[in-house]
Amino acid sequence: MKTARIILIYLAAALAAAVCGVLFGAAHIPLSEFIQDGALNPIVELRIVRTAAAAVVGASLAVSGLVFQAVLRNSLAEPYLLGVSGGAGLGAAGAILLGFSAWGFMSVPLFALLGAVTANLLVFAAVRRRTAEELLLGGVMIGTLASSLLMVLITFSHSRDMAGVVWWMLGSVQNVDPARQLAPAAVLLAAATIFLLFRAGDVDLLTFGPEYAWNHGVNARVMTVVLLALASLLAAVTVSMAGIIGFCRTSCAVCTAVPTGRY
Amino acid sequence: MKLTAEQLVYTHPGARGPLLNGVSLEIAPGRIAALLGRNGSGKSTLVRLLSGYLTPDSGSVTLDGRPVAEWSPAERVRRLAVVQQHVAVPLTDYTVRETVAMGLTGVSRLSGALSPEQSTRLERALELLDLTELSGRLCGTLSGGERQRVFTAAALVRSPGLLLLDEPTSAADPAVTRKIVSLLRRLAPEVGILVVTHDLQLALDCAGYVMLLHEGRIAAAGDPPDVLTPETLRPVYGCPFRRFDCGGRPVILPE
Repeated sequence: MKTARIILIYLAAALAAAVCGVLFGAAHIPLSEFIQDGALNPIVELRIVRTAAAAVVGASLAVSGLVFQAVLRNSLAEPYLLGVSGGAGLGAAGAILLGFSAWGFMSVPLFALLGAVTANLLVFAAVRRRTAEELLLGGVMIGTLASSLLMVLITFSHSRDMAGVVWWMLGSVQNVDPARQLAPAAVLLAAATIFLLFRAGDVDLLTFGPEYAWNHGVNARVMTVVLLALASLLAAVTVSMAGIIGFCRTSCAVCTAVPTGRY
Repeated sequence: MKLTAEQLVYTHPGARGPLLNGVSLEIAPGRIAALLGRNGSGKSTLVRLLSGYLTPDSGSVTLDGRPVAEWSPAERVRRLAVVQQHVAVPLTDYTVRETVAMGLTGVSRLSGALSPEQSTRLERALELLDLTELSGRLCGTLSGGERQRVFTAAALVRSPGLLLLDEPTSAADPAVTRKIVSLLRRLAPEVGILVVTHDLQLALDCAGYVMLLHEGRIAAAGDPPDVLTPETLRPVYGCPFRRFDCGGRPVILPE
């Protein structure tokens, strides 16, 4: 009951934040002007998209962080551990600095997604046994390599392009496309959440270690790879949509567990 | 139901030579087998090979005549349960009841709701290990011996036909050890049991068959009173032993 109450409090807080996100902004719009000529005020519409994008980004990083922390049994684990942020940064910087951003609005996010997924695949290909520890080390290696290459690119870039790269890396939900970015990210988040709810028992068993999970009927090696790949894909899609958003390491899993005395 | 290992050879990655070199054994209901050996002799590794968690370099492990790796995970754990020596401490804590319930198969993963039959099994497992009163406690607040009992209950809750226990009494006090011995004896007619232990007395008291693992092989095997003698134990452990008779009960101690 205690856990249910805490979840309800968090849901209410998220809902209140979302309402504030729509009601308040740089321009003051009274409630009476939310609907104009039978249509939604364009600024309010923009705020709704941005608020929804922020919610999807936050929820995706929270779900991804929960999986990482459970599987790696480490409260410092985060969604960017398997090279996602370095790869995405390199992809986005490559698109901006090599002039691909002129191809259209979606080119930078697509290159960022490509970079994140490539870095992730390299991590899975580089480690032999694919245990949680090996994947973690591989992720740190590939991530550092990608970040170093990104620094090289930035160093040799024109100052105007450099500002573009740094701006992208800061992260923002300012330019999210509702149909081409937000909708697919929301679908992926929903699918991942449903999958995790059905496999919650397996995730619980993995928190006791892979051997314990194996002894209770979970194919620990396969499940570890599936869960980490899914969590990384969530992070990659998020990063491609909103840049490298700083992720608060005290994730929602910890925030939920602490008040119940289970952490 | 039968678990058979034949000519198992296993080398740890990076090791110079094999840790296990031609180990064969059989676990079947009706008998408690005990496996003894020095620290690092490969007892826990052998349990991991028997459970299918590790794959041998050569040799085979079969569960009811079928390679253990070919069973689906759910079918395998319904037949074969393992109680590990060390279990990682999870980041978030679970109650005793939740931890034992995780041992059940076929629980609705979404709601966590138990069927009446599963609830009966859960209560019985808690009762068998004297955990009913502790069932609401978080595992993180328990002692090592109590946690060991929780993991044993989580293995027994499925009513497996075969049970492998890696040092089940290493953190237990004498009263709990006695209780576990009596529980294993009660289970033995219907469950094939392998107990890995350093406790020579436990092997003498509860096992019907003893194996001594030494230098990668089963150095001696047979009836406990015949195998657990100062002559067979000295080359294995490298120290002298003495055997006494205590009111008709054999007692063996290192000198």
